Parts: sequence; C-alpha cells; structure tokens
Amino acid sequence: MTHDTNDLDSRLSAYLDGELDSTESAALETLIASDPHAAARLEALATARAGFEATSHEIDDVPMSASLTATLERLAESRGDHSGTGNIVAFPAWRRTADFFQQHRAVAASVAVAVGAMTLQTAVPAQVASVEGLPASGTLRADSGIGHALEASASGSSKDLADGSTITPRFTFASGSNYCRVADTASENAQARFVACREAAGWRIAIATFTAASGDSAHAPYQTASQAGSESVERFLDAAMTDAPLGAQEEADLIRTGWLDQP
Amino acid sequence: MRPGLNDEILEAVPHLRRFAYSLTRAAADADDLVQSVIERVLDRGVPDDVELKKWMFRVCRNLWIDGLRASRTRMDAVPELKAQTADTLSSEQVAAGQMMMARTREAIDALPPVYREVMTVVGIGGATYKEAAAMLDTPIGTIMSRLGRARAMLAERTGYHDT
Repeated sequence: MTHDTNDLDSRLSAYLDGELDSTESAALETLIASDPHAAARLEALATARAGFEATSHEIDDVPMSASLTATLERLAESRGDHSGTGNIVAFPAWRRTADFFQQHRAVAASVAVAVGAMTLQTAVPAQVASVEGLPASGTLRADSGIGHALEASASGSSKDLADGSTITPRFTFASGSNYCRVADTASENAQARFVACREAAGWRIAIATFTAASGDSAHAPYQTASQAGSESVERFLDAAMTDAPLGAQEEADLIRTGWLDQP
Repeated sequence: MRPGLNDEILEAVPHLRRFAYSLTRAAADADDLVQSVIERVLDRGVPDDVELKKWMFRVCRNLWIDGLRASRTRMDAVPELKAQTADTLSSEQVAAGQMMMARTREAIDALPPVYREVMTVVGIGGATYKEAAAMLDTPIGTIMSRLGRARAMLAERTGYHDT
C-alpha cells in the first residue's frame, strides 16, 4: 500500500467523521465525484466504520456477569426513589432518557424479533411486533400456564410451569388503555423476555426476544436490561410505556379484580 | 458525592459495555472492565464539570491500557488471523448479512490494540479527533492516520473493497 493511499484513506476517514474543514471537504468531494477509485475507497471505509460500530452492539444481548449485575443492583437500590415498589425490579436502562429515545425512535416503530430455531416456541409464540399495530395473533389465554402467571403472579415471583420452564413477571405498566407486563421465561434450552398486554381475550404478546440459555443466569433474581436480547424490548418500552411502572399495591389490586379496571 | 451519580452510572452502563467490548473483544473481560470503572468512579469521585459518560470512557480506556501493559501486550502487535477465516463460511449456510458480520468480527479481533483503541474512542465513545488526541496523548495527525489505517485494514480483511 502506498503512502498516497494511506493519506487518501486518512482524509476520507476524517471526512466520514466530519473532521475536515469546508475547504478540505469540498476538495475531497470533487475528487470523489471524478475518481471512481476514491469513491470506492470511501465506500469501503464507510462500511468498515459502520461495521465496527455495529459489532459493539453484540454485547447488548450477552447477559451481564454476576458481579456486575450485583453492583448495578446495589446502585439501583441505593438510588432510593422506588419506595413503595419493593417487589418490582428496577431496570435502569429502561428509563426513558431523552437522548436514548431520540436515538432509537426510528427503530422503535418496527422492532423485529429474531427467534432461534430451538427456543420457547411452545411457550411463547414468535412475534414480530410494532408499536403502532400489535399483531392480532399470539394471545395467551388465562388458562394457559403463562397466561395464568401473568394473570395472577406478583412481579418478582417465579412460577414453575408444567413443561419445566419458569416464568417471572418483572413489572406492570399502563400503556394507553391496556395494562402490560414485562416477564421473563426460561427453560433448559432458552430464555425469553417479553411484553404482554391484557385485552378482553387474554394476554397478547406485544414483543418477545429469545436467546439460548446460558448457565445459571436464566435463574438470576435480577435480570439486566441486556438479558435475553432485551435491547429490542427496551426500545419497545421506550415507546410504549406511558408512565412509570405500577406499585406493588396497584398491581395486587389488579390481580385481585381480574385486570378489569382501565388505566 | 455528585448528585444523581448512581442514576448517571446506570444510564451509562449500556454504552460503557459497548465501549469496553470494543476494546477487549470478549464479553466477560468487558464486564470486568465495566465493573472496575464503576468501582473507580464510586471510590474516587468525578469532577463536577465533566460529562460522566465521557469520563467513564476515559477511565475505561486507561484501565484497559494498564491491563495490556501488565500482560506485556504490545499495542502495535498484529495478531494472526485465526485459521477459520471468512473463506470457510459458505454463503449457502450463512445469510449474507451474518457472513459480513462474522468477517467484520474476525477482522476487528485481529486489529492491533492501538487501532482498536482509536476506533473505539472515536467510533463508540463519540470523541472528536481533538478529544481523542488529548485522551490518548497523541497528535491529531496520528489519530487521523491511525483511523484511516484501521478502517482500511478492516476493509481489506472483510473484502469491502476490490481495489
């Protein structure tokens, strides 16, 4: 590789980063327009730049280490602004910060869900959901295992199902005219995090993400926002949550009255 | 203590994990690094006038460098590409996007730390070249040429270009 190519790569790279002044940018744009080699280099460097950024997100779907999880749990607890919601796990990254919402606004409208071949298909239907139009299918009736747990179990309590999997509702929130719950399920082979919203016929899955099980983390009491591919769930919640999670008492009242009240 | 520090830390963690992962290229190492950064920040505090996330990126990079030095890794050493290269991936078996992702991953793993560092600080950490130069104690011209070289290496090894 020649010195000239190195220099061109550096300038094109700086151009992509918006680090060139207007004179330098204009000169480079003229070159790109007239020289196919320069245009090809720009495309190659831009793809490399984007690829590097994209791969950094791979860790979003990897469960956090136990010690980091414990540290975050301590931080969340000592924050002290969740009084009265004692059985509700705080998910710090789900806080709707302005910049996060801004950043993910485009994708929040159509969150695609990847489903592994050997996942919890028997327990939770695979869904591709959008905020605007939740799918008509995927309703969990209250007499199914998961449906019953969503109907009757308090957030934070785990329930073993007949098929050997467990379900743990995480918290409840109001979204428009429905109540929705975030829950985790785990079987021997896979784990999932999903959001289901209560409708007349039962609990409809709004979004679900699946990952292969990874040791004990599936049963950890505190599951982080990066657990179970939940970056997508996080984005969904950013768009769907209209208010803070319900307190324990509000949730208990809804369980007792069969989720009849409208938010 | 800086007010709302815990909140700020919790909000920074997803970003910090990506930053650490881009440096270490291993999730477990990244989490250890993030853990160390949080402990350092809680232990020593943060100046009031800094943006916490950027401060944590800086601490993260410094701790990572310390670790490399302790393990006597040469920053400019070029690791060998693993035997299993992109060529062994069949396009019938792997969708094009996944294949490109796998190639990219492999190529990033093989980047010398000094290149991965500058790509992380600018690409993931959002530093300007000037900020990167200050953080890495390196002239701006070097930041610029390293980025150009790093991206060119990625492009070569992933077949983004055919020139």
